[in-house]
Amino acid sequence: MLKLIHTEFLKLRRRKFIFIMMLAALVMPFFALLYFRYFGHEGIEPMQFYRISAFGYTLWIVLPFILGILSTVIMYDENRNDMLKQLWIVPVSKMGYFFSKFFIVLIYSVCFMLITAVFSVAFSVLSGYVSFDFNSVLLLFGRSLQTGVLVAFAVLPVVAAAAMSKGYILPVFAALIYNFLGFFTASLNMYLHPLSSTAVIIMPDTSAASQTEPANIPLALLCIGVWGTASVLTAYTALKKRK
Amino acid sequence: MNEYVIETKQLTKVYSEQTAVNAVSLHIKKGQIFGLIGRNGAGKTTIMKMILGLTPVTSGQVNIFGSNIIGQEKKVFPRIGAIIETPGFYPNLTGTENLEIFALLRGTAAPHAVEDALKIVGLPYKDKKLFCKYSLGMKQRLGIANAVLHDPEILILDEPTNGLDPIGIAEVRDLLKKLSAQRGKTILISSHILSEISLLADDIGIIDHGILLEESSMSELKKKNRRYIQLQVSDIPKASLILERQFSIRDYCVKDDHTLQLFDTSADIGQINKTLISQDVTVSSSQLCNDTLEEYFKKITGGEGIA
Amino acid sequence: MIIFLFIALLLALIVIIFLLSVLHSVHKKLALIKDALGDIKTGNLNRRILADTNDMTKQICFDINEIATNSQSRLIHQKKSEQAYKRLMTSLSHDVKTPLASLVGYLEAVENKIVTGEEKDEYISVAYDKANHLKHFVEYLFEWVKLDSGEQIFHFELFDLNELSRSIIADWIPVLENNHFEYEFEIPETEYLIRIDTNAYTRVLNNLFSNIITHSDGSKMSLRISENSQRAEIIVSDNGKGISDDDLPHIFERMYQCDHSRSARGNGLGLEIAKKLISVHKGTITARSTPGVETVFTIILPASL
Repeated sequence: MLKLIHTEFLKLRRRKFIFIMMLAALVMPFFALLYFRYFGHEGIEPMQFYRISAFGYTLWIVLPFILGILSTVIMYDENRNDMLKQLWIVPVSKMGYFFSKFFIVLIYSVCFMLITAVFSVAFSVLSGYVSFDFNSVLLLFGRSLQTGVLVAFAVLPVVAAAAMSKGYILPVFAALIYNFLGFFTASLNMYLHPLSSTAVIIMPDTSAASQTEPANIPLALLCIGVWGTASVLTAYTALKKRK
Repeated sequence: MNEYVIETKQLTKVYSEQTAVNAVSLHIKKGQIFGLIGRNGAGKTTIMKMILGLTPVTSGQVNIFGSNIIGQEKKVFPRIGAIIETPGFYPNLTGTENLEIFALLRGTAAPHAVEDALKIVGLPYKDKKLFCKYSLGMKQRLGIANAVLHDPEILILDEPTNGLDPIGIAEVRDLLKKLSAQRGKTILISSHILSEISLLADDIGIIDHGILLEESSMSELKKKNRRYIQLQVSDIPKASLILERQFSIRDYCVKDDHTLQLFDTSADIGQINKTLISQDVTVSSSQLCNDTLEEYFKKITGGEGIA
Repeated sequence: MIIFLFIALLLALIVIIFLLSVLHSVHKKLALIKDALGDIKTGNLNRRILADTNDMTKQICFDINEIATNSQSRLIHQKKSEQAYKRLMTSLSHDVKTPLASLVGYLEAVENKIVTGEEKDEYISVAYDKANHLKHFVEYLFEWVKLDSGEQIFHFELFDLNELSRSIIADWIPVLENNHFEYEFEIPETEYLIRIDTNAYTRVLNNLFSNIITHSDGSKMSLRISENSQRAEIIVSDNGKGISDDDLPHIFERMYQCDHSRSARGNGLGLEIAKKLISVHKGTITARSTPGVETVFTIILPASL
């Protein structure tokens, strides 16, 4: 398994696009900066800034979508270059293949959130709107790590869709629909969709909204787990059949 | 131990309505080059894919090293090197980097395996050129380098000379001959070009419309590819003198104490017989063998030929 | 307090799991090695054991592979000389029997007084030619066997390729003139030192020249040498009947053809010997031909040997 992950990293050499995508991590901290500059506040609560810069839209839209594109890119290219045949006869197991790809998504997701966190701190402190507060920075990094890991698991269905299809249109659409579904079902029930469940887990410190009900973390984890397992199994059977 | 390295038993592949491969039983002996020949779409690639477990088998069985491969992939595949269709590689990596990925995945049989494999096919080691900038010939070579990277016992090569120029084809042929003769590899190779296979293979299997029409050794087949007149005579020296002096025939060969072969099939057999007998040489039989391999293939494939 | 204990326990557990997995992988690897060794022991010298760069059994695996590879190449070498012997036998029976039969035929005719006078003299002269041809062939054959089995010993020395070529040609000029050949030589005046076995090189040129004279039916031949710092190129061409596309791929491998038809007898062997001699010098010899117009043999010798 370690070998597989190692080769996955080797395969990313000279893939500029994937690193350029990382720049999207700057977008939300920058918007947060603009937002607060517009209102011209001084001495804002650090968490208030981070909520916009690192959690809010990043969690719901930006990160899941970026991860969706990433998994599509790394799977579609391998398929297009006719690599799978060569891998199967090594032999690489179907599960090993899927998990090594997922591991890349996971690492990417964590890196993405860490970059977001770093720039949130940088923008907020350097611009002078927020005073540097060690505790809240620590909290920000902790929550960012958590988000990175949880969102990677939450997008497992999209990774599975990318593994199952030969093209790139379907998985990208799947990523879009999946994201918006998360957005809309959240108003019905937070525990239906892995993305909203992720929001539940990290909410206690990051949500401004007054809690209507206490967060049910085990239930949220269960939701992510069920969706994840289901998509891994679907991807596995699809890969088995397709070969 | 079974003497066949690869053996397929009644291997069959049915795609929804169409039977792509129909009850094919191949027997590939250790250290031999087995040529699978047939037109494009005859089922060669499908057979190879089934041997490598790249497509499910409808019915029948594949034995490699004497045992069924199902469930044995982890044990058996590291002992096989293969090219199926055009070999794919990562376009954003150089040839060396591509091979390093496979060396890492499979493990290697010796230090410097990547360097050696590239040397075998004549590609530079640690070259800066990316795979996407490779010519078709270089891509094929890299495919072969990948197939021999782990020094496997079996090579399964699906049309490895596709897209190569005549010089490249000759080079690949020499390379495969060398791998077979000097390193004892068992090679299964497919092609739609008869002349190419006939220069290379020890054994041959002819596939047409998914059916194995014939499986035999090349030397056996070459016997069918002779154009000559065979004479059984009582006195060889006398007969050869008559042929040379009276018919100006020089292109002949003495097979054994009583058999002569003339390679000019346009010679007048009747006249030769008459002259020989009139000069006290008994002719016990004379026959014309006038088959070529191509004609033979036409015959067994029902008139359409192979390539 | 409890939390630290818990973390310590967790760490210990992780270490234990890690060690167990290492043990498991070593165990698996040993089973694989055992399996492969059994296979090698029963004679499958092709078997290799694959290892990663950070595998602790790497050196053992690579050493086993090397041993197997070495004994395999020895075995193959042994088989090769057996095959050379077999080919010698086949060639003797095919290529010697035929000319011998006709030779006997001619001599019988003379002996039994079937032919007399002028015709008898002609028969004797044909028989003499045939005997000579046979002698040459047998010489070729033994030379070939010696080369094929790797028993020939070479003496590489530094020589001026241009001077050497000129001295070989000097011997051929009268022969060419007797056979009414027009000839043309282009050899640089400068010195070009190369490590070469002079006997082998002479043999190669002799074989090419005698082939042209006896088989080409041409009227013109030429030899051109050009050299640079990497290699020397020696081009021998004639304007004879040429070699057909069907035959061209096989002209250097007569002995390997099971099918002894057509011009197989003797003529091809000279080229095969030439090829073997050139490859001993790490060079190449190739041929191209437009029948009736031009046939060109190109020898390339690397400068550094």
